[in-house]
Amino acid sequence: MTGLTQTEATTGQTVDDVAVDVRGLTITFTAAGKTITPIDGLDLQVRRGELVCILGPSGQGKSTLLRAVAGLTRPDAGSITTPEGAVTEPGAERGMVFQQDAIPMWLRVQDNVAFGPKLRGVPRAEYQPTVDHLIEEVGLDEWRRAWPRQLSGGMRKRVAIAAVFANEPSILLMDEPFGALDFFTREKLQGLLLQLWAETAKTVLFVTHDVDEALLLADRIVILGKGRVAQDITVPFARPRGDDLRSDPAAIELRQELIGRLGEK
Amino acid sequence: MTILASRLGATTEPETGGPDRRSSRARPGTAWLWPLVGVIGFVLVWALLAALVRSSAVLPGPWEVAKNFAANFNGSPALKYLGLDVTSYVGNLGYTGSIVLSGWLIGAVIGVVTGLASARTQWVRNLVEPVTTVFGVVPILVAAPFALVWFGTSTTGKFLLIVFFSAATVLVVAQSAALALPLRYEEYAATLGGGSSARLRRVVFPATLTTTLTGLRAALGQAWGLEVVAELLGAPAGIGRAIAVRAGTGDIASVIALILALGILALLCDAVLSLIVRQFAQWQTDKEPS
Amino acid sequence: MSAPTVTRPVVTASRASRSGTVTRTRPSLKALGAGIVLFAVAWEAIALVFAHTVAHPEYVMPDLWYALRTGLPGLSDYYSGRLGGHPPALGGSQSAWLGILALVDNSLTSLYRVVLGLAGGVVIGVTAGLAMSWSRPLRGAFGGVANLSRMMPLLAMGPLFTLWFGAGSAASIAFIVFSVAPIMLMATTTAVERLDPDQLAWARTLGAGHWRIWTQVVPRSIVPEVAGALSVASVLAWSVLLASELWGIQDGLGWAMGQALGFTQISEVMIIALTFIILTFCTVRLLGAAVRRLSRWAD
Repeated sequence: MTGLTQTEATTGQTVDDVAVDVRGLTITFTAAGKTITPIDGLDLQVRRGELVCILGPSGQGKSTLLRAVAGLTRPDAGSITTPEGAVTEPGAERGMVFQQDAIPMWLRVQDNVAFGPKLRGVPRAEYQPTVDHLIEEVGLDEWRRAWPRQLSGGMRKRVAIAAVFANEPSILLMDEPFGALDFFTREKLQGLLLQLWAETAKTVLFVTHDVDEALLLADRIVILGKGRVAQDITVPFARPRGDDLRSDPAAIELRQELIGRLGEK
Repeated sequence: MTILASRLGATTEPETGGPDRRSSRARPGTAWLWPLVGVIGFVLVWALLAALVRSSAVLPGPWEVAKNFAANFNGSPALKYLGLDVTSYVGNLGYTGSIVLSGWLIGAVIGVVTGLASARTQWVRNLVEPVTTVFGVVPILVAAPFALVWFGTSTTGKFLLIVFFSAATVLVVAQSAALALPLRYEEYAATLGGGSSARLRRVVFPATLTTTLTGLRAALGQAWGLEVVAELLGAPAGIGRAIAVRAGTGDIASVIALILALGILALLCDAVLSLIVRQFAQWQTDKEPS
Repeated sequence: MSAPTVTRPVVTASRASRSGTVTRTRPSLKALGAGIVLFAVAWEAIALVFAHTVAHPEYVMPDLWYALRTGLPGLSDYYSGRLGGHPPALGGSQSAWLGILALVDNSLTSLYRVVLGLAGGVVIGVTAGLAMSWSRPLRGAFGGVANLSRMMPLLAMGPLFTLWFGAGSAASIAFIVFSVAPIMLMATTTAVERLDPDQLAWARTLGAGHWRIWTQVVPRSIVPEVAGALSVASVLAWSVLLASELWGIQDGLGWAMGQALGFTQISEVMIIALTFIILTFCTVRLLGAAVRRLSRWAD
């Protein structure tokens, strides 16, 4: 399976198709007196409805890229554009699920899922049906009135997922959301994410260091290197993908290749 | 986090629960048993010492103090003779209590609003930086003489003193708690479409509320003493003034009675406040899903 | 309940220093300096207003230079002559130099009381705290009384101590010990409660007996938390000292302030207040430094 180069990946796309357009992005940090440039002239285009995994070990700038798309970190150079316009600030059209629990611990589950619409002043009659539906879909119907503190880590992630979907963003940004969970919980949540994604056709940018997770979820896998996109690989397997992916020889070969390319840096 | 804030029980994060260590060993529902024993024991020891000392001019026993309190509760010829404007224990409690509670409440509101804002808006912080830096080191009592000189023995001066003290204390705690809040809660709210004022109201304020309320409790506890000293320096009425005149005549029983009376009032207020705190802290302490 | 979190790359540690949407304000030394300067300027301005509208501005709000010029010699009245010189108390006349001596003399007296009171309070509080941590019923019993006593208006008890211990240093010191000990006691019991039981178990596996643990391992481990309480206690000690000296005692900074207040000598009150603030500040700083040295040694 040959990986496409950056230019090859971007030919043939019309402007309407592109949900996230990153051009020449550069972000520098100063940490302990040293200047680090995790993102250096990065270009990336994500099509509408695509699920793109940004894969790689920690510290290579994956989270930085995601936060820039979210509008939480302002770039030093370059631009990020969505159909709503240039990205300068966070906005409700770009929802995010954080790695560490970021849901308000002082709101019960039902208020947590409704948090986004309430923040934006949406009337209750408008958001309540969506909120109720999502609480059920993520399997937390019995826990509506629970405090987050009373929930397990996996359940809190479900709340986060339900909450971000309840806000109906067109772009979903996920920063290693299942990294802190055990294998079985992770599996269930991956399935839940794919289910919700299939229902709502959002554009998803998913950061992970787990190759298997990327193979399960992604339409495309992007590997960063030297501050830019180093590899951009289309994952050809049909959906729904499941356990058979582990035994499929083509998948095994791609897996090996990815691990190899990850190690190249 | 400032030492003051951490002393007042500030936590850096909403608690996610953890192993309960030694405190889990007590049987539920009997937590009040030993403290009660302690208090009863204290009163008994006091009575014993008083009996040993045998002079109510030096150490009056609990019974003596209680009698004094009951006798002077609704009206005190002695206080009238000594020139107070208000001549009953309950009246003086009311005088002191009204100044303390109203001053504290107003100061607390100012403190919370300013403290939270100062953690997010730089110009507000610059404005209150002298207050927060100085306040941790300067005993507020130093301001009491100035209040006396500028406002005389009137209630205005004392009221302003309490407002200032309460605002400064709560400001420090609120600012510290808001600064310590991990970034991700507000970032999350921002990605949901929350603007900066919405984030302040719906994330920073509720997240720091428990800590701030604890600071409020501590501020109130200290405000009582501050008001009494201000009244000691000069006031038309009030528990402090009553203590001053009674101490002047060497009447220890009355002094103790007055101190205990104020202490009981302070205790009641604190109990009410702690109930309120517990309501708001449900999300941190509830064990069973409700 | 929660699985271990993934470690974040070091780059994100500086995220807060970048411009971003969610930020924290930073401390500003410039603002602090500007605030102090502004305060002085405002004071002068108001003093000027008073000078033109009130008959005796020096009784209300003298300008800073006037305060220094007249206040300092005025302080000579509160000097006993202990350190030399011929103050008004011994028949001499006021002077700036005698005023300074007055400040030093009374400061030493007050400092002596604060140091002894703090020392006593710390020793009693920490020892009692350690002893109480042994037994749960004991802790409950004393905890109940301690909680109640915290609600008593502390500063109001000054007259009580003067009545009991007479109008001298004993009253001040006793009052300070009374105020500081409960704070240190509570800090100690809290710190012991928060000790990592694994750490104590480790000490046991190395052969440390019960006694050794309680007299060596535990005290060292609780130093940081207790040190924090000590900072607060030292500021409180000065507060309590002031309260005690304002009532009945015949020397010390608080007494001098009370006297100046009685004669409406606001200039003198200002200078004494400033001295007070400086002493409190220095005490807190010195104690903090001493405790840091101690913890480094204990580590």
